[in-house]
Amino acid sequence: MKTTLTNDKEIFDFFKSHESLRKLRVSYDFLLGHPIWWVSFKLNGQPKLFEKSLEGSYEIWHDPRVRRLRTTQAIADVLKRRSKEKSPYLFTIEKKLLNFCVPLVMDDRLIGYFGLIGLKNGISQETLDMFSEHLHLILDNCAKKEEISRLSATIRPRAIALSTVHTVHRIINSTLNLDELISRLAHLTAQVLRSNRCSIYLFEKPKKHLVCKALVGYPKTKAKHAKILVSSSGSEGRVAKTAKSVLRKSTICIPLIDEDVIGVLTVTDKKDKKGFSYFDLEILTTLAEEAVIAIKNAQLYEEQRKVTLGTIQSLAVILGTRIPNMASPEAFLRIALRMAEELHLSEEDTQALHYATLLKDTAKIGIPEEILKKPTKLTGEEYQLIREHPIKGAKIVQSFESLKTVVPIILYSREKFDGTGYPEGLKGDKIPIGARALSVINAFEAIITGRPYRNRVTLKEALDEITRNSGTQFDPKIVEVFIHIVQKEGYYKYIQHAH
Amino acid sequence: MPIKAGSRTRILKSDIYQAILGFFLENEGSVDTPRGIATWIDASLIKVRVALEALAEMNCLKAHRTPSTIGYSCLLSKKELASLTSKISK
Repeated sequence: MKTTLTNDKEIFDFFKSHESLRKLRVSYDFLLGHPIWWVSFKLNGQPKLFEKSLEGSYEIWHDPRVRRLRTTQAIADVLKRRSKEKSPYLFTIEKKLLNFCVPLVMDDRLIGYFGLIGLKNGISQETLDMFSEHLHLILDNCAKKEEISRLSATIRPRAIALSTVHTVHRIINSTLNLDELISRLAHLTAQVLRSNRCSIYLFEKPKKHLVCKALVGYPKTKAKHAKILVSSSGSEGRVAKTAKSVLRKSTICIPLIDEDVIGVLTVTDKKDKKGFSYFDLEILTTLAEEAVIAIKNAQLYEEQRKVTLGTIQSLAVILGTRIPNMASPEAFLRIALRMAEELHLSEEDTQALHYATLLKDTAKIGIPEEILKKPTKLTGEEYQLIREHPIKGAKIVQSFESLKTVVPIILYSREKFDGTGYPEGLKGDKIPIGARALSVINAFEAIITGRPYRNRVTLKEALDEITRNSGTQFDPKIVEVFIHIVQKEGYYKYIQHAH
Repeated sequence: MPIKAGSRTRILKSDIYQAILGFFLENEGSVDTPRGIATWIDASLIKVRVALEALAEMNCLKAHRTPSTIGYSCLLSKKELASLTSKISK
């Protein structure tokens, strides 16, 4: 907290360097009879300070007379004698030399003095009043400037810190992947608090253990996923148990609280060696409050994703028991995910392909079992029913909000790269990339596992058939990726298992 | 894309570069968006965006990219920042 003296000095410094003070001399100098102008900070009963202030006055107005002045002591004596006066006053010294002194008063507090030495005789009181009024306007302006500067010095760091918290909030909320979120949070917290180390522990059900989810700046020997008992004597255990923050010079440990404590965030070893302050605790608490919302959102999203995946897997199992020769979806799922990686699909597109691979035969639920198991050639009517299954599948899937991205993959998975497929006859890149990938997987599955109407073949024969249809039925780029994965990366062992 | 030597010199000599480093020298722990930083240093948003990207390219800043914005934080220590700022201002 600044002292009044510091504030007065700042106001006085603003005053003596104020541009208007120079302009005032241009306007008034002739009118006042070319006096010597001087300005002094409050003297506090020390007349010697007045001598020093004259040097400062020379630097403002560059008047050489101020350096040759012989009345310095006499003026200082008058100032000392009349130190209680707060209104401007005229006084004479040696051979009737007329002086004018304006005590610089702010809120009934003396800041300093402004003076004129050697005023011309007969100057009117109105002129002096107007001159004093001008000086006080400048002084008011300086006081406001000082106040703004003081407020800015207090508010600016807080505003910047708040802006930082807001930005961190935006960064951590841009992902719903809990691991990524926690890792980002730990790195950003260490950055914001300028600490060398940061750790985040979350509770595991039942609430007996805190499990380490992120470590920044710790040696590799401190294992991630390490568990801490809530009953332990360390800071994390205590904070989790009491839900109260710990602030030490070397550490801040705060609870992550939703309705209850869900975890603990710790920063240690501040970079500037001054140690953590209450201000750091305030920032970290605000950060933690934002983080908890993001963590809860990610946890809810993860739970919802698991429910969706569970539903899809159940559906796939039901289909597997209904459809003859249907391979384990697990084998083809692995290939689909590896293809997504190789094709650099986004996280969202990868998840859509994942779900679509599990759900690709959903619509077969609506096809009578005798058609699915028919070993002979299908009639026109039966074939039409089979052709409709991507549309039916898409209709079933689109009723789930969380599966919207899967719909186009299922709908167009029977399209052919040369435009001769169904249901819309889309060609080339017009077919969504997920659908082009699924089309290869579908065909490969049918070839290798066999169908009631066709015998299964060897892996080599299956791959040859896929290659033969590259550019006509399948996207050549996708075939290339697929062949590479199945043939060269050892994925054939999963296929053999399914086979 | 790596920064060409000519562009690097131009950036290093620009006022905006000094202002941004000065901001991080004053607020080491700050993580802020281009708009935020432009406000704090009272400079044009477009120029600040370009300078921030250049500084990130030079590994002075880290760009935390999200779909809606980019947050920038400083990778340099206070000592390194002070030394760099003083070199540039000469």
